[in-house]
Amino acid sequence: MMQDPGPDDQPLLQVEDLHVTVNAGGARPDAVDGISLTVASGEAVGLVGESGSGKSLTLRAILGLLPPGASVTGGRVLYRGTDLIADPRSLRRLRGTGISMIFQEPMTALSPVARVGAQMIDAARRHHGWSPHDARRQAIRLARQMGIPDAEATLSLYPHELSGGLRQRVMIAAALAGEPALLLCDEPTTALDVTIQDQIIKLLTRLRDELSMSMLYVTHDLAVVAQLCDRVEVMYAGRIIESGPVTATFSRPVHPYTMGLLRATPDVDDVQGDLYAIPGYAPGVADRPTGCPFHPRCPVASPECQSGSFPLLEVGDGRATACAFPERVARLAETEVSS
Amino acid sequence: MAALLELNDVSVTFRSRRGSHEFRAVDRVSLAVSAGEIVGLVGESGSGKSSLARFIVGLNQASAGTAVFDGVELPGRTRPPELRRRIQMVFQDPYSSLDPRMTIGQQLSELLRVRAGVPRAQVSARARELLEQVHLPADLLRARPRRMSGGQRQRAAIAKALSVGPDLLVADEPVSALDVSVQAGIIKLFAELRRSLGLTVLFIAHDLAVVRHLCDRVAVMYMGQIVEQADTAELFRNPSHPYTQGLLAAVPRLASRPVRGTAVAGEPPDLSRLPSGCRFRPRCPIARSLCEQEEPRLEAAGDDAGHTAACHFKRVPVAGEAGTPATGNGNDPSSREVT
Repeated sequence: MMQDPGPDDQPLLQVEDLHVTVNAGGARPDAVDGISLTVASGEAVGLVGESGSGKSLTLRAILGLLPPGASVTGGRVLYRGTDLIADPRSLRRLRGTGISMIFQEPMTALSPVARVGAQMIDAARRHHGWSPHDARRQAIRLARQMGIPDAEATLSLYPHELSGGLRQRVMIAAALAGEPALLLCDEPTTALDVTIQDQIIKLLTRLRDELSMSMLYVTHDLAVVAQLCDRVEVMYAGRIIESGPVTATFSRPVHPYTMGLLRATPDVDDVQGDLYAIPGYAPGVADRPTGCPFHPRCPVASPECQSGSFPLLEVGDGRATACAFPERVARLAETEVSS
Repeated sequence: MAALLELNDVSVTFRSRRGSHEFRAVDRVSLAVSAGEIVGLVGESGSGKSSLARFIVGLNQASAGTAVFDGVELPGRTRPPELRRRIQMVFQDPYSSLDPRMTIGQQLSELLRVRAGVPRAQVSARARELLEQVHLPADLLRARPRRMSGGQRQRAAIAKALSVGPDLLVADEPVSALDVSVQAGIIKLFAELRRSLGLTVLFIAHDLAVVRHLCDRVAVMYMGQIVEQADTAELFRNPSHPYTQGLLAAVPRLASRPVRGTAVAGEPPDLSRLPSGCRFRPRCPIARSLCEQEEPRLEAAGDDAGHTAACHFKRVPVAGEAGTPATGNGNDPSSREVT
């Protein structure tokens, strides 16, 4: 596989101040409102948030797959130093072999009229110039690697003849056939049963190791991030509001929204402590509050939070928060633990 | 206490799309739900939990078995309005029960007048009271569903179900489409309605953590049958069926803790091709030849009266030693600890 030369300290993917506007023209604020993040080589980064937070738009903007009506209105997306926004042709070249994407609904990525085997290796075959014979051998090898039972027979089926879990495996196989350096994941296990989700998580964990692949994983499920990712970026109302290593962030969050999400997530091993419901609802793009966007729902907000800007600021140990009062979050954590 | 709802060997049969064969989505299920109880029904997709729920509210017909509701046998075909009023359903998608063209106030008023027989003069006061009961602001009476958030819509759907004064609420995955921060609020609402109105709830969910937090008792379904049933605390402490253990092990955790048991492998098999003997056998980590020959029945399991499991090799209570810590029969959780 060819790899562009680059300095070792350069991140694989670098998103800088990305803005995405949906239905531009009105006075609506940006659905993605200045996102910056990096994915280092071999790293898995989780991008979490609730519906409307802008997490999926961010991911689609990176791959140039924004839905109609949405467009990038600012910022850069650097893949090994090349700006994918400024140079869409380089993006086309990279798709499948440099960067691949997997989706929640595999049928959006698979053609209903082509056999599974052909689709699985299509991108890779063109890239490597394999003969039909080599291509078939590669497809079978890949299918086995994905844990697809009865690989040879399955490859000659059509997607609709497969179960949801198998379809997901086929889509992952197709995405990985070109041995991409970066895999972008958009809620790939959300629609699956918990048993199949567990199998896919284990599969991705193994493949990530085997292929030394980087991942940017979008999900609403914090526990999935805990299983799969090294670092986490928490989005709210189009911005990243907390960023850091997964273990530290989930055990001692420094933004009240992250803390709220963690406390709202029911624990299957424990029922101690009441479930916490974050009051109110996440604002839509059109009615985002001024100041800190979380202030109307925040348990530690004060009048200062209602205006001004709240950028993501470093707090040490590779962590950052957009909360101007992280010490209040720490105090909140202590009081509720001791009470 | 007499059961509010009692199912005896209920089966629900569907014909395959080509009409060539029949399969039992629900296969000889017996279940008793006491008044004021919240019973959870869990299992993978295709386990029959939704088919059973739809039978209870009268949307599916049983092909065999009987169902007794408050001492009255539920008729096979058309149900009298009074019975329909007393058993209400809440769906995963609140739009299933909301009319997008009417305001919430109009929808509630209509139900209150026509179905609940509330005198015209009291309708608007009662509608406001219903919104208060589900913690929605009164000004939403004038709102159409479109303008509301997902959580608000689900609360409105619950208000509609409550408007006719039901005894039993059958909730089919009512929180699984909601954001985490909002989900906790709806879970608490069900607990609150049980307390304040003495409502009985059959809560269908795939999320075991949610069930653990809300339900008094849990029934686990697999391929149309209940394979394990127990009080919630007992079920999570002493899961006795390998399927229940496997489901629990498959749940992604926020913190890295040792997880008991092996996650369920493979995919749910086709209902039209039932394996011989125990239907979980092809995916079971402890299956032996007996499991191929004989279908296991629900029998006493675990440490608790009322705990049953359908497995030849389930963990069983030690005879004559009820209440004392069990040893030596596989009941010791530490012997199964897998990290």
